[in-house]
Amino acid sequence: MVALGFPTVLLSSKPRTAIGGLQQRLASAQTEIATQRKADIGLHLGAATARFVDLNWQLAELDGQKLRISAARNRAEATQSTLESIRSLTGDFLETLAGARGAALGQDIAGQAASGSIASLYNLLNAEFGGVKLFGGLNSQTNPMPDYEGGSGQQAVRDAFAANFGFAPSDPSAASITPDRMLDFVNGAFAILFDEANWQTLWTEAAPKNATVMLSNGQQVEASSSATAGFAVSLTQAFSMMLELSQGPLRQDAFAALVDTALSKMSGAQQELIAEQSRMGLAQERLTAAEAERDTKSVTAKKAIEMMQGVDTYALAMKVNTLTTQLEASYALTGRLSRLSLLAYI
Amino acid sequence: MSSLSSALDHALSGLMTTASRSAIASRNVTQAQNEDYTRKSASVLSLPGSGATLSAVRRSIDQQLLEKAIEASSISAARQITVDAFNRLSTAIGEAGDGSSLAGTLATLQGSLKDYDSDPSNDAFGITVASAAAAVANRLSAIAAEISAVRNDADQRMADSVGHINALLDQFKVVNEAIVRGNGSSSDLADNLDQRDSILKLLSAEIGIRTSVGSSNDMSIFTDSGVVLFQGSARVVRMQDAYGPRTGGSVLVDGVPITGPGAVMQVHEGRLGALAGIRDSFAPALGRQMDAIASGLVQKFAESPNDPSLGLPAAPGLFVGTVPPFVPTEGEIIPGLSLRFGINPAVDSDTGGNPHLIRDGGLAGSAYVYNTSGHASFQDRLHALSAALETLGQIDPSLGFGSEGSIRSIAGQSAGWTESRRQSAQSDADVAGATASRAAESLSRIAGVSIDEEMASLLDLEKTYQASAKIITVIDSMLANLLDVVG
Repeated sequence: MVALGFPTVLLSSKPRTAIGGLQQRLASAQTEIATQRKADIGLHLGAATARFVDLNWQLAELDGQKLRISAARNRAEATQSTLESIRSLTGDFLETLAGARGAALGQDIAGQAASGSIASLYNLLNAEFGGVKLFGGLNSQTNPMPDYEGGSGQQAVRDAFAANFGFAPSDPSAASITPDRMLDFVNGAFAILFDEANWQTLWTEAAPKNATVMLSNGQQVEASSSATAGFAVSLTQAFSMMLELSQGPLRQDAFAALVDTALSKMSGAQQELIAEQSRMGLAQERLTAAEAERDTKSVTAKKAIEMMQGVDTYALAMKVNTLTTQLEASYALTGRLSRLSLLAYI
Repeated sequence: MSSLSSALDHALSGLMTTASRSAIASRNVTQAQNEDYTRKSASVLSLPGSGATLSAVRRSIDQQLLEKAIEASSISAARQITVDAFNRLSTAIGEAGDGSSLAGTLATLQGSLKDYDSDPSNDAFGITVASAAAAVANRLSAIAAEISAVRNDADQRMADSVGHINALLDQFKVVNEAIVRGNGSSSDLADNLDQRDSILKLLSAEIGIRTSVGSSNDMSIFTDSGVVLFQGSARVVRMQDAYGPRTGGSVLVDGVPITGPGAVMQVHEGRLGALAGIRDSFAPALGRQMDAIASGLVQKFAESPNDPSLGLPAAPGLFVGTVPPFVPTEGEIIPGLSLRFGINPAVDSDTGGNPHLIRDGGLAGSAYVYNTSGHASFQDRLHALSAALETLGQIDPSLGFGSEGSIRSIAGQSAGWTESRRQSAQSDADVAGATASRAAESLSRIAGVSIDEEMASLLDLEKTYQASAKIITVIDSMLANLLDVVG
């Protein structure tokens, strides 16, 4: 005899297992609505998780790059504006010097201007931005230009003068210096004090290597400067020339020769400043381009991630509705089925 | 006269069969909620001249359906165990895209290195790199520890399963013998058969089995790989003690290995099959991936001596763990390294370390200093380290991720490997679960008890009983009448 009746045990176990499944699906649908992403992203993606992980890595990298690029740009801007200040300082000094060339108190005027200018230049070169010396090169924690007064550079100039002429710069015998001798010294022993090796030992603490910023494609942008750049050397040389060498009672023609040399150094420095500024400008441009590229990449990566993890809120809301209705029906059925038994009628 | 007494005999036999059938109905009702119980019914035999009698108690069962249900439940149990293990491993690795996942911590480390590179004199950036590196080491160690825990649990549960299998086989022997003994006799074997089937169900949850029924209803059990578990007597199932970081003790049936790498007759289904797969295959494979990442990190962050003429070897830098300290070659995997992996205490500022050593080098000693100039914004080392996680190089092809890759690619692929296995285990488990519940339902439709039906048949039996009793009363009064007439 085959059992025709529906087994009692199934009558109660079927709705029970069905309810369990429905509740689970309802819970995950609710999580997805709340978080706007798949409840279990790994389970959803399977092997594609590798790609998803990689995209997230890329996005994290791009997000970090945004901050790094903007920090580098800020630093480049600060450097640029400092360079601008140095340029105007140079222009001012040039004017003063040109005026002082034939003036009665020309030597005093030039000396005072040089003293003020070298202090300003050193101040600007020691500028700090975000805890970093802008012109320190890689040696970013030490003032690139130690104090001029009493520094080893000043001392070396005075020593060189004394060695060359046999007396100190302020000595009255300075009146005996001919323009030719002055030029010999300025272009010889004096100039040697400003060659690359001496510059780094006598004058500056800055490292010749500039800090770079790494872009995501591995390229490096040199968006910073160093006090080892030519303009800093030329300016210091010109200022120091006017400050140290014209302290004595110089002959007018010797003074004029000195001023002419300083003027040509200064205009050279102006060219070097412009070159440095345009190098910085190019670096800034590269950073801007990198930022734009980064923004595009970031949008693409975000889109791809969204495609992989995103959920359709509308469809989910419908799903929750359906699941709720099904659950309610299941509950009602379970209740009614349990009352449905022949026993109640006999 | 003979017809009256024959009528009485019939009526009596009717009463007796009705009573027996009521007993069966009551047996059915009592066991209605027992899923292992099969509905019993009585065959009633007509006896010529003396009514009816109960010939045998029959079970409503379909042997094929039963075997199907047993196999399906075995597969379902195995799949669920695999899913649970992968859920644990996946949780340990971390949710894909989450910053605290393994790939997330590695990406953070790379980002912090690049930040540090953009401003090497910044103390805060140095400290951030050190803590990002510590987060990588912690996550990797946590994953390695979880892999070990998953393997240990699997090993423990395999041992439990082996014990359970042996106990079930012993029980099976007793029941099977009772059935063989009772076969052919008129005794009621239905309950014994039920019991034997329920032992098979339990057994198949532990280990994939096939059965065959011989003459005299004797049953033999084989593993799904064909090794004899029971044939007349129970075979001894035993687990070897050997348990290593990458292998576990094999399970042997009568000396034949049924789990482990060398097993030709490897069991696939049931708890034992699934647990062996996790312990001996999946978990060790993931462990190797973690070891590959740990070895890669030690290698990529190792420091070279600044004076090659001294002939010093490269030494572990930011990441350490090799004992004694040495630097793996590119693509080399040091087994178990992920369990001993950590960051160099010399960079931990909390314990007096100096994070700037990451920038300057010298973690391995003064012979390994890169920043010999002492410049605060020294970038050479950081440039190299920021690219270390992404630089393509040789990787061990046995990982299954190709022969060229980076730490970044291994971390991504490893997450993909785990999730793809978890996904397929989950969908297998869903299918197996549905198959198992359908098979159980089909079986239940045939073997299950409907209380309504039993009650209805009880109503029938009640009527039959009343009718038989009435017949007896009628015959009694007829006989009384007759005796009155005679007397």
